[in-house]
Amino acid sequence: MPALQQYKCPCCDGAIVFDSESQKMKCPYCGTEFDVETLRAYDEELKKAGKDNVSWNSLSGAEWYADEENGLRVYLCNTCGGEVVADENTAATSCPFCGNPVVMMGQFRGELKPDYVIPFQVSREEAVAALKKHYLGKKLLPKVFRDQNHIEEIKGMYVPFWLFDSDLDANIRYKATKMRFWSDSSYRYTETSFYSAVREGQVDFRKVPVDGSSKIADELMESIEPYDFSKAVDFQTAYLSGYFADKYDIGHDTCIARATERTKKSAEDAFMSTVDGYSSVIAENSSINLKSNNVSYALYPVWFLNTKWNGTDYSFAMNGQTGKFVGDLPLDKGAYARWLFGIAGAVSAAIFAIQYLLWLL
Amino acid sequence: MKKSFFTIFVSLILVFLPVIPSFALNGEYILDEVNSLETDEIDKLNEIAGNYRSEYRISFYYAYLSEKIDEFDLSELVDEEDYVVFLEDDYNPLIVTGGEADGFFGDSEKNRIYSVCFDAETPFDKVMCFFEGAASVLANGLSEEKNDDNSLFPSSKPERLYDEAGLLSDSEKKNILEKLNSLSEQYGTDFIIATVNTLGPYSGSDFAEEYFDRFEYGLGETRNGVMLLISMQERDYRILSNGIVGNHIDDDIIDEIGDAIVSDLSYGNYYKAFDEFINKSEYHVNGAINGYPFNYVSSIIISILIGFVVALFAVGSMKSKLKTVKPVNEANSYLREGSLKLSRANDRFLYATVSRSAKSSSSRSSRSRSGGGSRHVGGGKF
Repeated sequence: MPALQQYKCPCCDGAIVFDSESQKMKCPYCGTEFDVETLRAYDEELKKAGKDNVSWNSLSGAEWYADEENGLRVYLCNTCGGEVVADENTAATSCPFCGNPVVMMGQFRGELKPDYVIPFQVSREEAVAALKKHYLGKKLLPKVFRDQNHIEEIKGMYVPFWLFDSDLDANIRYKATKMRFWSDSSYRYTETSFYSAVREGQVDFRKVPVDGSSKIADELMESIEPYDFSKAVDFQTAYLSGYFADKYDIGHDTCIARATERTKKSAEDAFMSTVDGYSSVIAENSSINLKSNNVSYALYPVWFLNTKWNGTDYSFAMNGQTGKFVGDLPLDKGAYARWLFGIAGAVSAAIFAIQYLLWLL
Repeated sequence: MKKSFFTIFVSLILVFLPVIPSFALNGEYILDEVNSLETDEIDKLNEIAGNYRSEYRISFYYAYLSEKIDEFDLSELVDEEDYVVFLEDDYNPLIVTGGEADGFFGDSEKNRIYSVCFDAETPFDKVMCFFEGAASVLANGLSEEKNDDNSLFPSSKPERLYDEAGLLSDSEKKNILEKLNSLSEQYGTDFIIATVNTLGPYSGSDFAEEYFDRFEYGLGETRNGVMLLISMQERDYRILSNGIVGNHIDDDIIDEIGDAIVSDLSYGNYYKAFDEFINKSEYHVNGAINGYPFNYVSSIIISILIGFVVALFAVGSMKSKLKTVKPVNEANSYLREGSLKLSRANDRFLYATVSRSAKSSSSRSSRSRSGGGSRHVGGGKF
């Protein structure tokens, strides 16, 4: 059975979690706070403890293998001894019996160890408030949805991201036109001049993130971007305490296609913006070479909220760093028609009145 | 010594004897100082000049001078008040006119005669050419003068519909005329339609003004009136507005009316075009005098259309707020600042194309009249 990690409060032995407000480890029972830096040493200790556990784990290995076939793993909670059953990618969760946060150390060994982590900056309460705010100003949202809405599930999760550093060499040829207009006594003239513009050069991108988890929709993750990488810190498991986490299950060689696609588009846009002074610019031929591609592995914080309405699931995601909130909402067709005809009627009446007043003058 | 002096004198006289008579006139109208013409030719030319004199009351003269033209005194040759003289020396021809003839010979007429006659084969042909050319200039000029007054315009004030070009059938004429008369009474404004075969020397706008003024059209102190003039030879149409209605029916409205009728005119649907002119001009004359009626139908349609377009945009933006999950296809936020470096930027001109489109060919003229009215004329070809 693989190792589980729990961070215990040195004062009261309660399970301590990472607190997004103070950006420190905090014991929810006695309120003691610990500086994150002190956890490095703590981590080292725990790794040693982990080694000790290896032999113990192998003793009950048979049970684990049986469950692995279903894509599940079973861990034993260090506090209450209860069985924690988790997905094979789960890297941090909470014990279903005692509720204490647990971290699966085995998910961060060797190649699986993330390089960076961006700690949560926004709290659960802020995430719930953000959902309420998300409903505001949306006049076509069914009123019942807003009123009956209750959050089925809310969880703060560290999502695995591959980060790509790419330096691009570009050679792009554009077809550009300039227009000139003039007229004499009997004709109007339009002159269209065609130019061929070539731009060669390079542009660098840093830490372009691609979602490395198959369970989480890529579209949803791109919608809550961007993440500010300057706030990232070296990975320490302590940050995960109190949150959920997954390890990646899609390799970086698969994810690189998406990163390339996005950087190429940006490179093309950036170079096109240097072709100025024309009425129209179209890229005719573009050859972009990726010179270097460094990959790093990071965990980024996301709040997931799920609600159910009329038998349909609605899921929302919030950037755990910036608070950017997204999630598609249902459309009230009745409200749509009312607003359409209401606005059309009001505007029509106003325009008619203006025409009548102008006629009176 | 005295004798020898006398001998020289006599022989000099003898030498010049055949020359001296040539300084005198050869007949009444010809002076041939270099003997380029035969005697019978000179007689013939004198006779022709005499005929032209009785026909046009203008004397035709011809002189070939041995001296330069500038040194020649015209009174040696001409003893009439109305004359046209062709002078030639060894260098240049020159046409000089006097009296009545002055009005007929402009620079263009003179130049035409020079260019046609200068290459004539014999001196006689050249003089004939001069005379015939001058005669045709006179004949044209006189006939134009005649046309001007008599054939271009009707001799007396016509009815409000004048169809010289014969574009309408009798029943159509009756219809149109009835409408013109009743509208004229109703609005105190002359509604006039005139078709003519040709504008003669006039421009379309000048002809329309002349037509309107000659017969003193226009009702009331300010002479209110609208007129449509069609000339078939030039395929020209003109619309004129005058007086109080002229203040309102300006170039833009004239263009608008013109645009409404020009295609019917082009296709020969004259009755339809005239009817349309009557309807349009009644609408605007009514607008000028009573103000336009409020157009409920078009106002409501315009209001509803604008209302729905605005509403669709507004509701569309409300709807788009519901959808916040969308892929991001660029990586602009991860572009390392200042990393964009151009190693080569090169813009090369390839080629240029020019396209042109014709402007609408209408021409305008307008001017203010005293007494509170103004006049606008506009139109074009159909």
